[in-house]
Amino acid sequence: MIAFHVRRLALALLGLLLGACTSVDARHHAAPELARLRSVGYRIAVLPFVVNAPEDGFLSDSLTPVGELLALEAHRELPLRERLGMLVHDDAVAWLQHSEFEVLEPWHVLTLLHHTGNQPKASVPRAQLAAMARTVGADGILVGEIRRWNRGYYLLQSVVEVGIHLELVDADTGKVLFTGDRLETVGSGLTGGPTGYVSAATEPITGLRGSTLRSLTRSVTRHAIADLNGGELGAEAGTTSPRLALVALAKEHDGPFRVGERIDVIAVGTPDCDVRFDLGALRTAVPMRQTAREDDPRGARATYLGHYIVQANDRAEDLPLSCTIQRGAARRMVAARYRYEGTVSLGARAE
Amino acid sequence: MNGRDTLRAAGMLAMATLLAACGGVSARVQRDVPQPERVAVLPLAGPAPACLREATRQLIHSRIRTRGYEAPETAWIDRVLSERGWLQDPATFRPEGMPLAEMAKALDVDAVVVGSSFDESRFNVLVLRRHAVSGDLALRLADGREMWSTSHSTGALGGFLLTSGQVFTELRAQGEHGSPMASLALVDEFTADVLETLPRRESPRVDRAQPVVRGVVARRLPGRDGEQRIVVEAEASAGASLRFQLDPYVAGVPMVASNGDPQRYIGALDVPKGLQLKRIAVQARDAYGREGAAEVRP
Repeated sequence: MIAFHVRRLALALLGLLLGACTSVDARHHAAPELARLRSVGYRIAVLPFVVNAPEDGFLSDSLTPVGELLALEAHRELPLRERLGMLVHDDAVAWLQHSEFEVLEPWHVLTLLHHTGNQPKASVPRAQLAAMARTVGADGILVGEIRRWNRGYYLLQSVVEVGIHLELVDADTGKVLFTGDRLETVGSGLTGGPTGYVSAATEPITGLRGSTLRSLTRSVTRHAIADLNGGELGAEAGTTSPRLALVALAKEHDGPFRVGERIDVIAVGTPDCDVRFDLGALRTAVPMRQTAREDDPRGARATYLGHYIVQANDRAEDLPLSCTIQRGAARRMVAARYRYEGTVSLGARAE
Repeated sequence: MNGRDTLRAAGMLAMATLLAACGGVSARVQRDVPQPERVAVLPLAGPAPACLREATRQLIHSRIRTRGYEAPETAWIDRVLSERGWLQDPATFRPEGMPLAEMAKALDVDAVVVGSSFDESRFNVLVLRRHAVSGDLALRLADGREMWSTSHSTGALGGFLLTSGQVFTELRAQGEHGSPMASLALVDEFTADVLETLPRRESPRVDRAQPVVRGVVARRLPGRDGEQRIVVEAEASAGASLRFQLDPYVAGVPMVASNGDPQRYIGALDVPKGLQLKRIAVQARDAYGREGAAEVRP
């Protein structure tokens, strides 16, 4: 009988531990008109997230293990908290591209705000947020706050927690269309279920890896954006990413291109973007210029033309031709790459 | 518990500790091979998507620098390899049979990182899922000796079958499984794991001067109908990547080292006749990302 009570007590304790160490706390409220606005194409600008996680237990070293992801994602010049704010901002923008919303290119948003003296800062009055949204041509502006960014290690147990708060402010009315809070906590080790000798020792350490925290951050942001979207996100990025419908040589050419000849490239796609072409890895990022724009009900599209004049030292066979398109020429922008079916040869010396 | 049982328990505990300590990446390090100073990360080969291999390569390049080695930029490496005919298509590069010693000399490095068999695999049947990135890496000196090599796989294994007591974690993982961000996270973990086994280089880094651009001249030549050709020439350190800008018309036109003089660069572009330019600027970028520039008034 005593053994029975001990077992029940142990089970109850385990349940408590599980509840305490692996949990999701999510609350959100959406204005009734948000679903309709979403369905007709609501354009969102996202501001850098403000980091208000308490200093006590804040993971000042937690960016080091994910430093190389941040190297890809840039912002290395920023102080730690601002860097984290930009990291989560970038995640939010990436997930919003899978939503029903149209998300404005962050580079465009931040540059416009900078040029108009509207620097995003920690606490911005609602009226000013609406004005900011109008400045950048958005229907609404999304502001976010990171309220938890912590981890702890207790020998046989480690805990990682990330909490964010979102608010969507309408540009026309200044009304808050959506508020959401999401706190996710993951425990590794004792609360992860039955473990053997080895995993009992390693799981808490594994749980402390930067990748665990990074994964949780990504996940929390994803779920928060899914709440904003009113349902699951799509598998593919939306149409707001710039695209090319055609990449080709603009003129037929027999044999290799010789010194002084032009390799003319044409691309058709999203207007007002930075488009460049690559001849393999030999000559890369050759600039193209937008030469025409056509607006029709299916959406605007532009023609881009560029050329490379073959030089005396150029000699290569069967180089792939590809084009990249991105909004703005900043290095931060993600470029989409499109490849031409054929290849190009450079014959170097003129006959 | 008798003495034998105690001994067995102690043995098991020691083994568990050992396993915990040794679990992870296995790498082979030849301590008698001298550490290189400058290392070029070559394009990675394997069936994984080209963009994933390139992301892995960028992360290796980035992390190898934090281990104390100097590493030229990957775009610069690819250009040099292409100019010498060793790289046609970065997506289909195969290191096997390549003259690595000649490559190292052309790239002005002591060693190259060669990556092969890079693969990405994934499946998800809800109760069981796995998403993994694997590959082989080796650091080979110009004389052919191998200082370091590793073969590693990083994976996310899960599914409701395996994650008893961690339903929230699994729900979260199911949502992310196989997404590009999950791939990137795996690649980050892969590179972090394998580069941790590369011996750190303690020697101080060499500070190199930024490239200097001088002698910029521009000529206007007759072009095709309604156009004229602008030919821009400049001098800069041999091996640099140069581009010119016709402000405000276009920026980033590549220039090429001339045949006889590797410090003399030339590039050309056809522009509309009568185009008014504010300035013509030339920017040089060396193998390590240092930049220099010069400009002239047209």
